[in-house]
Amino acid sequence: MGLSFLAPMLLGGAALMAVPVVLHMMMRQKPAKREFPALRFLKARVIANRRRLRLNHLLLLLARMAALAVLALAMARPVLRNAGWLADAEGPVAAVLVFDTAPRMELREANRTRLEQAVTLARKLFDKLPATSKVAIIDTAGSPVAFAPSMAAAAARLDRLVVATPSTTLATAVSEGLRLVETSELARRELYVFTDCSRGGLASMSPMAEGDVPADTSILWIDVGATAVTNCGLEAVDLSADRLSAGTPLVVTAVTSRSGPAITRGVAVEMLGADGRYTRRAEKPVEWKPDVTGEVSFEITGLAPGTQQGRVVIVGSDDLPADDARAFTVDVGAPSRVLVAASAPADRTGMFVVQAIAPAVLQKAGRARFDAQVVDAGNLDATAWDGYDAMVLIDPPPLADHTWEQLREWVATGRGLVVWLGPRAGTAERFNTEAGRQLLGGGLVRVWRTPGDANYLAPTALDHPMLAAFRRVGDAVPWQDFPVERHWEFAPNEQERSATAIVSYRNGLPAILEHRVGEGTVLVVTTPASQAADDADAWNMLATGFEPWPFVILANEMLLHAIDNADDRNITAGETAVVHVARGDVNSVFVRTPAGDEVPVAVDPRRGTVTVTDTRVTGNYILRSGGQVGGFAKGFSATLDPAATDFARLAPEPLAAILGPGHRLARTEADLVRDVALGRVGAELFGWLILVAACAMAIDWMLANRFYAPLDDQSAPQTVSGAGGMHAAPLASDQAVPNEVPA
Amino acid sequence: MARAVEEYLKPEVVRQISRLDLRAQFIVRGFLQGLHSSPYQGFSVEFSEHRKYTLGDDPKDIDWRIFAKTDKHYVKQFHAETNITGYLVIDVSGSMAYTYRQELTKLDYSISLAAALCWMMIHQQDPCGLMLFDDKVRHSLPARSRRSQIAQVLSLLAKARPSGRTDIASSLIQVAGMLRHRSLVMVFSDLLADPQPIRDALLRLRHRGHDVILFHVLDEAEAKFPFAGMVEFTEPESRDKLIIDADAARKGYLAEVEAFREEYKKTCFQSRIDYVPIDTSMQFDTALVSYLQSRKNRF
Repeated sequence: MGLSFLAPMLLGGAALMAVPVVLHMMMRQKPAKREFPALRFLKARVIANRRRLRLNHLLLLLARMAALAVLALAMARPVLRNAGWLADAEGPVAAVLVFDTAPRMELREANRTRLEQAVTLARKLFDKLPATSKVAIIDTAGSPVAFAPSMAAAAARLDRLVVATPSTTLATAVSEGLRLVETSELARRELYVFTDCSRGGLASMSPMAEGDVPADTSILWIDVGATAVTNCGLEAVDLSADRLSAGTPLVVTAVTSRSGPAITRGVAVEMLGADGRYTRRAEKPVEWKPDVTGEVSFEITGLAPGTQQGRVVIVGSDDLPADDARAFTVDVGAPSRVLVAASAPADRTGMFVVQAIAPAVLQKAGRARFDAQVVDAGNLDATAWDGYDAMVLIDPPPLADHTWEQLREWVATGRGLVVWLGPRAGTAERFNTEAGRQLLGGGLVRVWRTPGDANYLAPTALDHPMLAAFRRVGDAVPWQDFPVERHWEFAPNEQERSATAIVSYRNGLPAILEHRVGEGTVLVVTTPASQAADDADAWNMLATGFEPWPFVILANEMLLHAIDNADDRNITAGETAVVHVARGDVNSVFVRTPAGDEVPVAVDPRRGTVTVTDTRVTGNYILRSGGQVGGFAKGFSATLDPAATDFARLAPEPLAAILGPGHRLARTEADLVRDVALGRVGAELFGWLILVAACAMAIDWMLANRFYAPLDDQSAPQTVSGAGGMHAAPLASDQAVPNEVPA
Repeated sequence: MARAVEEYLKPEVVRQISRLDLRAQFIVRGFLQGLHSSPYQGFSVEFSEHRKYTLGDDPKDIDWRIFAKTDKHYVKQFHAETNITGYLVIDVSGSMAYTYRQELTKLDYSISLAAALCWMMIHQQDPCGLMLFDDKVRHSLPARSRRSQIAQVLSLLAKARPSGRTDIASSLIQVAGMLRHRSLVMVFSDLLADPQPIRDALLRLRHRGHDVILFHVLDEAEAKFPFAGMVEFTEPESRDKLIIDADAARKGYLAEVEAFREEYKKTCFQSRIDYVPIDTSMQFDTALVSYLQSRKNRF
């Protein structure tokens, strides 16, 4: 139980307690002096009553001081926490109701979704809220975080709650709710969190600590999770590639999970046709075993060139429809042409990069992402570059100025250039020319040597788009297994447009730098990818280490980033999708959403891209411009984050750990009513104190009237009269205290 | 005319007359003049008066001696049948010098009243004496009925100065010892002392056969207690002090004074003593009427 004050400055008003005392002291010091022979009559009456009068006046003084003190205390608006029976259940409440509206809240139990259950309980809660309360409804779909103008508006908002793709996590919504409720000036602040206590909703949440919830705010968790569920779900869908060469089959792998008893249900792949209808291309019966994650794969062949969209669906229906279908998009077409310019012997020095971006097996099968052509870097000037989308310079020697300038002009048209610097660069003085610095965004300084395996690539953050592929594994990438013994120190130009580091070595020096040149991108790697494992002078083991998959991914992602047409084909719902148009005759496209709406979106003329931000509806989005023939057509798919449909209940221990110590969790309506009653633990004492002050004034009034009843003699001044007694009496009564009677 | 008569009897008017003999005459003449139109006219049987004979008067009431001297018929309307010896006993202690907002102190008031009574008595051929006391009898004049007695009484009264503490009881006992014949003893005092000895002393006077009129003279402030706010009161004789809220104490004080008077009134009634409570704001006729009532009761 704690006491706090809403206006502690007003406690200074308690100093007014001194006023009656000061008045008493001041007034007692100046009696008029009179001779009076009939003193015996005064003595006879007054001396007899002197003690009683002193006691009376002391009581009166105390009553007035108490009234002033209690008034000052009331003005300071003290609030008593955990006051139990003192709590004023009818006082207004600042209540923030946080709802998890993720798709898993559509899970049905007893023919009622989790959200419907939450709304039902919330209506019961509304009945318990005083009429003048301030209520806010917050959901995870990103609705405005603010108090509703009235209870009726809040109730209407409650009725409009729907399941939607989450734009924030429940933890974020709770934090926003706490911040919002703290802004209220009401003394009683309550936060209610309606959650299904699922792994998807709470597992990623940091455990609530005692300091996370302010002392004057009570938080109540309401568990609306289902306990008996039968559901088949698709956790994820993996594609063999989202950019296929024509004729390459697409392998679709779906990850399945089951809640409830074992069952056999079919899983199918449906492709979206030009008429907007899905055509089932494959279907397999699947044995769904309880609480076991399985996989089912499909190979889809005969995909026509262009953007192809489809979905994996579970045949039939179950308790949660949101995880019964997952959409995907794949581009089918010719691979990007890449010119690999390597030092002689070019085939050997360029082998690692070529095998990384266009493995021979895939090339032979026609499924390679890139069509790589290897040339000798010395014959670069004699090669026609126009038909290529990107160029990879592997360990280039110092180039002539005109070659640098030609490259610069070529890149500026929107091509990509990846430069793996190595020992062929010779010396920094020879390699660094003005034309070269302008293209690369900087120049070489010196070669750094770090013997052993102390130095390696060490990306500190994976927020660059080029590193997006590594985000899924994060710190698990074994960069330390691929040491870099030597590398160039690359100093960006000191002008405004210079290269910026994307990835650094462990010693802090830049490993990969990016420089935008016109519409194109130049990526510089300060160590080569051309030396064999048996080369004693090899600078690194990036490509020659054991299972160099990080190098393969890095080489591919660098090239994709440099080409800058890495369209967002399969995104998580709610994220922003960027699709390259790369056609000068298309200024805008129509985006057809899975819901059937068509929205025009302008093409960014500088980057030639279309950006779609509203992707909260899951399914396939189609981007079109022009007609069927000669027109532009692409698309992307938005799928739910697996957590959005992960309704598996947390075990009691982890749940208690996440909700924090002393948490209150209600499940039924009875629990809710009980916990709300217990939660109304803060009571503003203003009303009580005003009552006490009124009592003190009434006592004062009664005492004053009792002690100083009006005289029968009309000529005598009135001492106390009616309600004015409080104001008229103090001086008279305080003066009336006989101080001393000399012998 | 009646209003003018009342004016004569107001202390503040009388105060303007400095000479005590004139003041006494003023009071008595005003009083007598007022009596003619007052319901107390019946008391005037004690006064000797002649008036012209008018038709309807009893011829046997014609004063033939006046007819012999003046050759006019005057009716001898009243006769004084006997004489009564009166003693004016006045308290001149320090407390009698008090007034709060009146023109006359209690002593001044008492002296004026006593002078008027003396004047009336002498003019009715009644012997009149005077005694002044505080804690004992300080001055005394034996009773005489000749005219010069007025001057002596008034002279002594004019010289009276209030001082000292009072001892009314022993003074009255002393007075009782000084009186040889049955007399009318008129006591003027504020009686601000222990009441029981005073009552005993008054009873002793009565037991000796004296008639007693007790003029209890209080200042108007003592009777009505007009004070307000915090007041430090000092008793002039004992110098006792008391700080008190006058407003709060008024009711109790007045009740106490009333009880005090009632007690005296009760005791005096039982002893056939005329008790006349007066204060210095009252007209003199109250005292004079009391005297006449007492005198009438004697015959």
